[in-house]
Order: sequence, then structure tokens, then C-alpha cells
Amino acid sequence: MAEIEIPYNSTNHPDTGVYNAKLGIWLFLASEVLFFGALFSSYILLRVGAGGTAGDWPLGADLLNVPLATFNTVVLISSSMTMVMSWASLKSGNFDAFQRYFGATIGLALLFLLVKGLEYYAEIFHQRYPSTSTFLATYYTMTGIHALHIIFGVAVNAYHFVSAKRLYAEEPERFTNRIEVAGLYWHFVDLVWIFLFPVLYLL
Amino acid sequence: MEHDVTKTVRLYMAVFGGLLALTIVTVWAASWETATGLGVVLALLIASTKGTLVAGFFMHLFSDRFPLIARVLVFSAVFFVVMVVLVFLGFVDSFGANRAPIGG
Repeated sequence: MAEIEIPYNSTNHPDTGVYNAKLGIWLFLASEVLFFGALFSSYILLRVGAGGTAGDWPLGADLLNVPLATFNTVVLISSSMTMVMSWASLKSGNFDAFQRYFGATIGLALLFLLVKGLEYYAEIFHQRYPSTSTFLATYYTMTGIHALHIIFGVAVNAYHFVSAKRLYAEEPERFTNRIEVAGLYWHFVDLVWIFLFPVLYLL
Repeated sequence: MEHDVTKTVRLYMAVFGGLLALTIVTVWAASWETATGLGVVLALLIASTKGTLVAGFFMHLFSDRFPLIARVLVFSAVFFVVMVVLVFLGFVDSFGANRAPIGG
């Protein structure tokens, strides 16, 4: 059976100006903007609707662990950095450096999830459940959905990590593009956390 | 090509440093003054700056010139703004909920 080549996975499509996977991920990310936009919009409605007194909507810092969340912010920003460095390493043809940076990205993501798990454990230990208050329901929903995105990203990155040698040997340019696309998703997840952190923990 | 990558890596390092510094400033700003609302505005401004850095440099939106992607993102942004405005309109409208019905 003759193999059918998928077009425009390493070269740009003449109509769109980008390779197909890149257009695909940007369309997906646009839908993700609306998804998280709906969550942030609901948060604003609930917070504004709670009224002006301090007791109606607690300060995140009074209930949540800010130092731990700050540490997690640094971890996620660092993982974004290692992700972009892994792509830059492939661009310069340094596969060993790619493996180091990409492995670090996955490691940092797992560290983020571990810290997040510890945070949840502490909240539940103090009997702060999603049903306790609207603030906590919002906190668990938004951070939980974000954590699910992290888990999905780790799964995709882990697949690329274990099959990197084979994929890179077969089609190096296509593999580099795959890492760029995975990176775009990863940076978006980082970007969402950049807004979640001050909104839930600090304000 | 090698020179370009080295230059790009240096840029990524600078962005990374900026993001870490802004994270510390966000925590400081929020603890500084939340009662007047200035801390809230400052924390959100810093978060927006950090978001711009990630989208602009790590996601290559500043260096890549793809009008189609820009159009898709502008479209999403418009819908997001509409979503937030609708929420606010609904909230503002509820101020009149306790008024006596006309003719009642």
C-alpha cells in the first residue's frame, strides 16, 4: 500500500502562511481563551455580586498558601523557559541539549502538580471544601481545570520525550515543529496561571 | 543561524529574568495596599505585562508575522470582552430589580 504524505506539516501552507499544526494549535488556543474567559467572567460576576464588605468575599491570602503558590509560579515560569530552550536547541541542531531541557520541563511540571496536590491536601485537612464557600468553589474549579491542562500537557510532552530519538531521526524538521506546537500549548497554560495566581491568591 | 539562536537564547534569558522579577513585584504589590484598590490594579497590570512577555516572546507573537493567527486571536479577544461586558450589564441591571412595578 502506498504511503500518503500529510501535506504542510513541515512547510508553510501558501494560503495560511503557517504549517497546518501551528494553525490548528492557535485555533485550539483561541477556543481555550474563550473557555478560561468564561471562568474569569464568572469569577468577576460572583465577586462583584458578593457585595462590598470584606466578609462576603475573603482575601485569598487569608485562606490559601501564598508562599507555596509563589513557588509554584516560579516553577511554571521556569518550565516555560526550559520548553522554549528545548525548541531553540532543536533549531540549532543540538539534540542532547533538547533532551535535557525537555526532560527538565516535564520534571518541573510534575513538581508543580506535586505542590498543587500538597496545597489541596492542606485545604481539605483544614476542612475547606468546594462546598464551604463560593470563593473556595471558584478556587477549586479554576485551579482544578488548570491542573487538568497541566496533566494533559505532561502526557503529550512525555510521549514526545520517549519517542524523540525515533521521530527526530525520521523527520527532524517535523519533530521540531511538533515541539513548537507542544510549546505553544505549554506557554498558554503558563499564561493562564500568571492570571490565576494574583486573582485567586493575592486579591 | 548559530548567531541568531544565541541572540534568541539571550533574549529568552532576559524575558525569564523579567518574569521572575515581576512575580516578586506582584506579591509585594498585593501585600502593599489592597484596601484602596491600588494594589489590585497594580497586581493585574503586572500580570498583564507578564502575560504579554510570555505571548510575545515565548509564543513568538512579536517575531512571527501571521495575519491569520492575529485575526483569530483578535476575534477571541472581542468575544471575551463581550462576555465580560454582558456580565457587567446583567449586574448593573439588577440594581433596578427592587423597584415597584409600573402601575402597581
